[in-house]
Amino acid sequence: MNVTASLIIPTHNRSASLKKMLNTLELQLYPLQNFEVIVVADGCKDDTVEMINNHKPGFHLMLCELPGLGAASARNKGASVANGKYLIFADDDMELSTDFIKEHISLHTNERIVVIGYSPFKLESRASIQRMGVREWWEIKFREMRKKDHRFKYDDLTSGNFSISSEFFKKVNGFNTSLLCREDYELGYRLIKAGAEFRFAYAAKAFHCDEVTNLPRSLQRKKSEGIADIQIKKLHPDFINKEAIYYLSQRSISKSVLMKVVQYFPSLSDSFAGYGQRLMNYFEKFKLLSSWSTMNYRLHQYWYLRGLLQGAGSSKALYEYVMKNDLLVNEEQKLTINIEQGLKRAEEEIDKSKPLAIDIYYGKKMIGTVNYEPGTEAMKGDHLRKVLKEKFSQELAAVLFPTEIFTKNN
Amino acid sequence: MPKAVKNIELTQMPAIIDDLQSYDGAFLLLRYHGTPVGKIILPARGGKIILADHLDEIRKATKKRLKFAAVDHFLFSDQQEQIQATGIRATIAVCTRNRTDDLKLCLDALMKLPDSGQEIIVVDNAPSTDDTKKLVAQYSNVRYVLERGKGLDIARNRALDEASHEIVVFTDDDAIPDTDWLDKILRNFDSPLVMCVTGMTMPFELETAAQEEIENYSPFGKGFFKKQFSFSKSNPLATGSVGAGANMALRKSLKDEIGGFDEALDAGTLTQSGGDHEFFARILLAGYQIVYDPEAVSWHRHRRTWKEAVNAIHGYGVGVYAFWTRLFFEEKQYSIIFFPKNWLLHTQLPNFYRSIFKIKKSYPLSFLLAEFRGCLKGPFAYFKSKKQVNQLKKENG
Repeated sequence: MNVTASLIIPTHNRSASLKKMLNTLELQLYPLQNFEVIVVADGCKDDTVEMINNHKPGFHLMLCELPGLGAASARNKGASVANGKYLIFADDDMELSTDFIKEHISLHTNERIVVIGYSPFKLESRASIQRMGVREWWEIKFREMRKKDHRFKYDDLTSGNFSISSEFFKKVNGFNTSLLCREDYELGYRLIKAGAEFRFAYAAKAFHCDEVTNLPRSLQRKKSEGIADIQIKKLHPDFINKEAIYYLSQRSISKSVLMKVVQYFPSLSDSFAGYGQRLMNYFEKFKLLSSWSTMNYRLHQYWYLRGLLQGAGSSKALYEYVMKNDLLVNEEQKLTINIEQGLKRAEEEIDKSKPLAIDIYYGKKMIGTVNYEPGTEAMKGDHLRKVLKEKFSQELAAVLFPTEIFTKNN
Repeated sequence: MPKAVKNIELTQMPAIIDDLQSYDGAFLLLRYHGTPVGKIILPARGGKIILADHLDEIRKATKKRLKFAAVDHFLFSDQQEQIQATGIRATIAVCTRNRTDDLKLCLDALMKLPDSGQEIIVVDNAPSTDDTKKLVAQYSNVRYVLERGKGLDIARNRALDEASHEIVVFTDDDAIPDTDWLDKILRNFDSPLVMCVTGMTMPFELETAAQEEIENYSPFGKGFFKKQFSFSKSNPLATGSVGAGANMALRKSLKDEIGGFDEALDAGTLTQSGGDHEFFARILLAGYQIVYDPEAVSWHRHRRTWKEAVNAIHGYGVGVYAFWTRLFFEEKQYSIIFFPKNWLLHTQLPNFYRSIFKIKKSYPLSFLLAEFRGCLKGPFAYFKSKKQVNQLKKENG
């Protein structure tokens, strides 16, 4: 079959929402004969298979069945049978904009491009605080990705709305199916290492009609993320886990005690966490927002730590996994720039030498160093101004303060 | 003791300000390459201020913001303003009632804004004459809308309905925006999360003691740093530092998402003010962001006479308690009960103390008393106003 794009949708017992999604796909502005849709029914016990078999749309529709191996396996399976030059991954509960496929495909100007689409989180009215927080988190992330000074990172990849050439996907061996979760981050990590160029497509819009994210799930997921992060660290020893480093680097007595309790009596600390979770319901009911937020933050930290410890086996092993980061950057891969001669020139130099790390000077004054961060795309000229503003404002201000205004001339 | 109001560009600071014959000082908005970085009031002698004598004070008044303005100038001055929300268009709405002198100044200023496809509407709120209609007829690109229901929030809701564009930018009829005001407002709508943007409001004139004291006691400007408000960062009920309705922009879709302005609140009703701050609270409670951008400057003409000033302050007191009342009873935001206590203990009582014992930086006692009386009235005013609004609705079907 000769198609350009393969839209891969893994699904698990959500026949109704999948049907709704398939019905709207005929409205795509991309020529219907130029794409195929591959539904991977993973352990479906409802009428998904029957529904697909009876569905006769105006585009090519293919069905694969798996016995319930998880989303990563389902996506790999879809990719393995795809005929398209490009693979587009979407979730089964999405509402795609009519130019979704067109926008994804139009950004693939070379073989190493990975396009990430915009997936706004649809919020019902009178939403819970937790769900409002989730929406805010996503929108802030997308706002940054939309700007041309955004430096892409492995965790910008969202498995529910991205596209890649099938050749590139095969070259990096697709998703890792051994992870508990965060398989999209891990793929993003390998893609960046393989020289991928991430692009964000605001117009490739997929409304996420997710109705299941709630507090208990979010906490459970946080634990899974802790376990997965250790798995990722084992796969990629150079992986820097900033979240875990931030948490573990602030040592205190209470934290050491907590670590011991979590390690040896997890059921005890879990029940305390359970009380905290129940308290949050009352905080929400009486609109005590700041108490709610504090407890929310603490509990997420707790479950993340719980996952990390479970993954690492002991607190000693955990510290070793997380804190051991010896990154050696070759002096050859490091660039020194001087911004006193103008930012344009510095940007050109960065674009020319594609450095891993940069020392920034203003005249003779050292402003700071942009360190190598594995999993982050190579620095481009476009990133420079944002980095200077966000990381080195104070240092720059010390050099640039217009003291001449306040000196008397007479 | 009138003060002249002036813009001073620090990079081209004049040695002397010498046109102050009828003033005893000047209120200066200090800018660095156009960006407001501070304000200062300096005394004049013989109609003159020699700025070189005040360099230390000017430095003190600006240095916190100036150092970042200098960094921004170095980083971004050679770049075109990045308007992310390309093609975003605005309707400018002026709500007014029987104030054609002020309105004329406002409309003249709006005529000077660069054309980015904006629409301008004037909502004439329960007028007693047709002066406003006649004035608006002189401006070919301004649309006149008559709203018979009396009340600023009724007029605001009407403006949201009438607007043809996605963003509705409100200015008071007694405010005069800078020429780059609209652009500076619109650039902040760079995410669907941003539902509201407020700008910085400065005094248009300080010709009378009343105007000076109002600016001193209750300045509309909320500082020289850009701020982002959201429920996850700060208490969504504390909207006093968000900005004010005299200089704010909203997404039209808000009316469907969180309901319109509360028509029992604000000018023209018994509650006298508070409609904007109550609306800000509901925006934040719905999980959206509000951005305060001090580069979007507008100049507000405060009431001139002492009596008007005291009435305005009294109105703030009524409005604040009225909108808290709504948040408590209608939005079920019970934690609002801590606000009156904190305000009383940490602000109002210390202010009374200072004022009575004439301690430095004290405010006029008549303001404090008027505001306090207003506070006591607020909750009753809200219920009464609510009743009136409901009754009117019933009468009009």
